[in-house]
Amino acid sequence: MPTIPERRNRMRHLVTSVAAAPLQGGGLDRFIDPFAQFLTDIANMEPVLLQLLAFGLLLGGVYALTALGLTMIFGVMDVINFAHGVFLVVGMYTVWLVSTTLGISPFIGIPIAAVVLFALGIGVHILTVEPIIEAPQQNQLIATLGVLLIIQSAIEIIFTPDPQQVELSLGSVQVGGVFIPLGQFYALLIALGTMLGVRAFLNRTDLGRKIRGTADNRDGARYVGINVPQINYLTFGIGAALAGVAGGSIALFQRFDPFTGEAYLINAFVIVILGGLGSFPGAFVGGLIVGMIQVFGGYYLPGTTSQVLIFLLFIGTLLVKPEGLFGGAEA
Amino acid sequence: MLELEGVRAGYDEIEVLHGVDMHVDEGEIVALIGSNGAGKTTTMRTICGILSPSHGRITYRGEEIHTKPSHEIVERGIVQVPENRDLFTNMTVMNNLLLGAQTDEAIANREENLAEMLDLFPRLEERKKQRAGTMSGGEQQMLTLARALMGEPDLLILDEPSIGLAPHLVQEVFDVVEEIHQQGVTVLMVEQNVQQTLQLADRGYVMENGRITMSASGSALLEDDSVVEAYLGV
Repeated sequence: MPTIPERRNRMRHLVTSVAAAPLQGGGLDRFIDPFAQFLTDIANMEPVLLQLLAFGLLLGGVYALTALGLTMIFGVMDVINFAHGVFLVVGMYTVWLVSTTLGISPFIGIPIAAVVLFALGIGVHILTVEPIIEAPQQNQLIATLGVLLIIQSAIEIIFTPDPQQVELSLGSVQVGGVFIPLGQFYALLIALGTMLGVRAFLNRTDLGRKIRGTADNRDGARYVGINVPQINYLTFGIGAALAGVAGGSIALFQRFDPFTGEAYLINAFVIVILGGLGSFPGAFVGGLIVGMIQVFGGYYLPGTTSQVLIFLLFIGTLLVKPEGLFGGAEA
Repeated sequence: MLELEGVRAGYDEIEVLHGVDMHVDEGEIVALIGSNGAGKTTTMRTICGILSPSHGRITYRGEEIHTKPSHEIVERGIVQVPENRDLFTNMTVMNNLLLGAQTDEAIANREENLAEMLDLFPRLEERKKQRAGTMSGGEQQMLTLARALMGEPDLLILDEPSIGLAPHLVQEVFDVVEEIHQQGVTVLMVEQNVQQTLQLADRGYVMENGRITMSASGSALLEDDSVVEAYLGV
């Protein structure tokens, strides 16, 4: 018979070995170490942090713009537009097409993309969303998913599935030891300018006020005599135009193919949920958060773990604060 | 001015109005009374195009309006103060008022009307930068009324404008309605305060189970035994 202390020891050994089991093979270590490394870097004020912060800002600003149109359409119409990702891609191809075939500067191509997408958005709205606007939400979701597949396939047929690239060698600058690629920097400026412009439009113009009113209370909008169907298609057009600007800006610094939109669509959804469906400041802050996670995660974490973090954040938001960071605040 | 003939309407498969006939003449105050669930609010929503009738017709100044969308009905001069207010709660009081003006005429006179509203409802002047949803029930009701007036209605429809208000505010609402009426606006109102409403109204309708069951002058209804028993709790 083992003595009591002996038994206690054996028990202790058993407990610790069971608890340590997942650690064997370094599973947990691999997840903890990067965070420890991150904290050490912060403590040492490593210059790489500043560089990552710059990259996060550059990416996050553009992400915010990709989410803006999505959140606007949802806010006004309660429609979750699955075609938003492919709208981005149409924006990319528009900028690419006008710059390669017509020799027009990609920077001029971006407003052209906005106009093209505005028209496409209104067309898609009238053909697919408008007829079922009063139907339950999943109907519009499926309809816009169909639009996504049709446009994506059309692009693939016309331009092949090969990746394309806008010919633009902007180079980069160094500011205080921080390396800033100019393509991304201009994209960020365009994103910020567009967001400020949309904000001013929504807050200062009569049409913008009507859009906000419709987003706030659809019945209220009808009682005061706002032409709600008209606001719907304008909003869908503006949302699509914003996707055109976002896509065109991304094309300034990234290669793309017909399926590039999917990754952006998923991140845009996360941003919109994180910031609060329909919320403008939410899209901005959400975009920055997702951009930062992707950049910092990409540096510290192995493989695509950063995307896992983004999804954890997404699920966490739905569990803890489903209305999002800015849910219920002024649209 | 406004005429409903055999109007049937409801929600999805459930019919609430089983053939409503009523009319409002220019310059009148007409009251619609009835118990909860009788179909008063459904009637008001149908007039303004929020619901479309399945049968019957609604004409306004001789023109059919029941096939028109809500914004075209507002354009013709019918504006409603809805029962649940439907304010733009996340927007400022000022923006709510500005959104009240949608027709060309109302937009042209917007600044003028705005000054008038802020004068008529001094509380709104104090709170014009506040979000509508953060105000008290009484203030929200005043804002709903002011928002409707910004639309320069010829026919103002009021659905329970004094619901849930403190007694002194109820009186204020009735005073404002009387003042608006004196400025030449025709009024159709649904009200819980039956006594006060019938005293103010030229005519009244009693609605039961989706039909008009009685129609008479306000004072006649006030003296009718069945009305007194059913709605005045005497």
